[in-house]
Amino acid sequence: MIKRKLKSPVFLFLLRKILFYVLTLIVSLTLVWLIPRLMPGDPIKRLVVSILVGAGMGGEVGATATATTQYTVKQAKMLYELYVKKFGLDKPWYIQYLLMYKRLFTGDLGKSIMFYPEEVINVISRALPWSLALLVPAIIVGWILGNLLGAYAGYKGGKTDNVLYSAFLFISQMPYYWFALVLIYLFAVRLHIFPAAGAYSVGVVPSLSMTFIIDFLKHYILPFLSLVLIIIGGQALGMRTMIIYELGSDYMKYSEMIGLSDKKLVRYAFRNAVLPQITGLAISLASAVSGQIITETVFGYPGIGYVMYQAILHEDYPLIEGSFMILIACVLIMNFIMDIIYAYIDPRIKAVYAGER
Amino acid sequence: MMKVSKTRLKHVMGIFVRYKKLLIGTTLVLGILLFCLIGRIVYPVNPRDIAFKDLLPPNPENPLGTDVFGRDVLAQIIHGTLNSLRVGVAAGLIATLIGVIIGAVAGYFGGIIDEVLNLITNTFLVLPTLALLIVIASYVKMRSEWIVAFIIGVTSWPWTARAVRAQVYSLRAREFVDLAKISGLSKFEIIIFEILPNMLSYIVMCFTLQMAGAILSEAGLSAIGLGPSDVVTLGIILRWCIVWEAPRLGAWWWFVPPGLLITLIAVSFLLLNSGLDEIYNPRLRRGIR
Repeated sequence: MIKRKLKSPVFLFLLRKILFYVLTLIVSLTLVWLIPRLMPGDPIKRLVVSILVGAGMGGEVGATATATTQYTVKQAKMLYELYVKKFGLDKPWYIQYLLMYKRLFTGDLGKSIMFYPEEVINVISRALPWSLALLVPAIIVGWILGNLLGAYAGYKGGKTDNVLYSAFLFISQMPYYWFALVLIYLFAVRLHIFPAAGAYSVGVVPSLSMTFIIDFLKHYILPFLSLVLIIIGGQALGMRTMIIYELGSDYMKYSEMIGLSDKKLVRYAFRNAVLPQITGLAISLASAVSGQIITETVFGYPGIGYVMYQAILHEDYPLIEGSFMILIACVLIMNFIMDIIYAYIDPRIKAVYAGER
Repeated sequence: MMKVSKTRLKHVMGIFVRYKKLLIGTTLVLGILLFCLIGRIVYPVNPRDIAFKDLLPPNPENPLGTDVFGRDVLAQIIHGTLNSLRVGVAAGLIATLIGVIIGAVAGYFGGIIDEVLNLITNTFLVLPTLALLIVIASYVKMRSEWIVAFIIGVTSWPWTARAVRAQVYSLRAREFVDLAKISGLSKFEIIIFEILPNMLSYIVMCFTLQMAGAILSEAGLSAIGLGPSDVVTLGIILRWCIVWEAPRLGAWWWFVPPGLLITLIAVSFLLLNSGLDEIYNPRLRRGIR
């Protein structure tokens, strides 16, 4: 029984995918580990300096820093040695590399510099729900609407197609954050319909009350629009091409010849064209996440992107790397979810992997 | 002699008339280029000069008004567009070069080399490039436009690698490759002198896509403050608009033009790309109506 289940085609397909994602994770983690080591300069020195400067805004280290420079030098040295030990930089490189994984799996991403002494993992887990609340609905809505519109344009042809094609093309190439600026100008500054920034008003406490939900939605609409419209444009563009391809294929000509109704033809074409669009969605996910980082920055929306932006401004390297790792992890998980859906929808996967048995 | 070149010209013109996307794309690209080159001569205002009152709306002296520092927006746009294009071309070249090398080697050699290179390519395709760019760029303190172009180039090659691999894979079974093998050419010689010249049009198409992508990437990187630190690009202008909250200042003349131009540049490269695609790929021609 179990043996049969393990050999099921869907399972084999997903197993291959899991291996691929684990590999992708290893590659990206290796990059994050490698990049600072390839760059000129001493990363620990940089870290110590930014901690001293950063904590100087409110911490006792900074206060002493201005009082007696000699004390700071001593303290900086202590801090330096502390971090050399903490990151295991006194050990050989392969141990350092393995230590990174140990830190990652124990959730120890280090302390944030700008929010010192808060743990990076806490800062991120506070921001993550906001990002997901923005990204996941935007992707789902954008994908569905984009495919329907794209299929419509491809099927209709003529003037409709020309107009829609130009619109999709333009919309899909707009920089997300520029479109965000335009939305803020139109709806927040000119028309005063929606607020320009933040995820909820100052003074409103996040809870499940009616006031908060309405306030949240008001803040939600503009960032959501700026993401969803561009996803629609990109998806529609891909779907339109796919539909034109399918409608021109031999099986379509054959179906037309044997006199199938138009409605049936379109349904066949759509079903065939939508499959590659699922793969397309996985790929556009990466670009949507990239866009979201900047969109959140423009709206001051308290998600991972905004955290990353602030971390860049404050040279908070542990936080930059932590956000990067979490972003990658999220993208990989979402990719995997789409693979599961794909495995169940596409009959060819069952056929291919059944054949390999 | 004369007659030959005339029919040739007619043929080329005919292509442009038949393939509207190519025509529009080429016109837009040339138009934008001319706008920068002629603009610099006709409108010799220094984009860095704080020579005017701040936040002036469009007026006869400053056709696109001034920014929050009192710098002329049109001058910034003219210089910014040219710099953005330069970053785009440089990054596009780097990405295309890396992509072609990896794709061609993977596609021609096949086997384990192909598997490994394919795996690497797919890995990079899944990663959100901007996040990777941010991590790299945040460690580089002095970012000239060339360094930014380089960073973008080395992170955006996977698309090209994948496309080139598929093409090479299908070309390597053709007769002319067999012929080259019989005549004793080495594998690399076959790739460079036989296969790649046969797919030059395809590589050019990849390059146009890479340029469009690179210009958008530069703008994105600049928007969060990791763009080039030595020149004005369209992304850098948008960066200032974000930092100084141009929408809230009501300065539409400041933030609308740079974004519009970025979009226009990307669109025209894309049109160029799909126009070329229509010429080489007859199955798509149903799309032109």
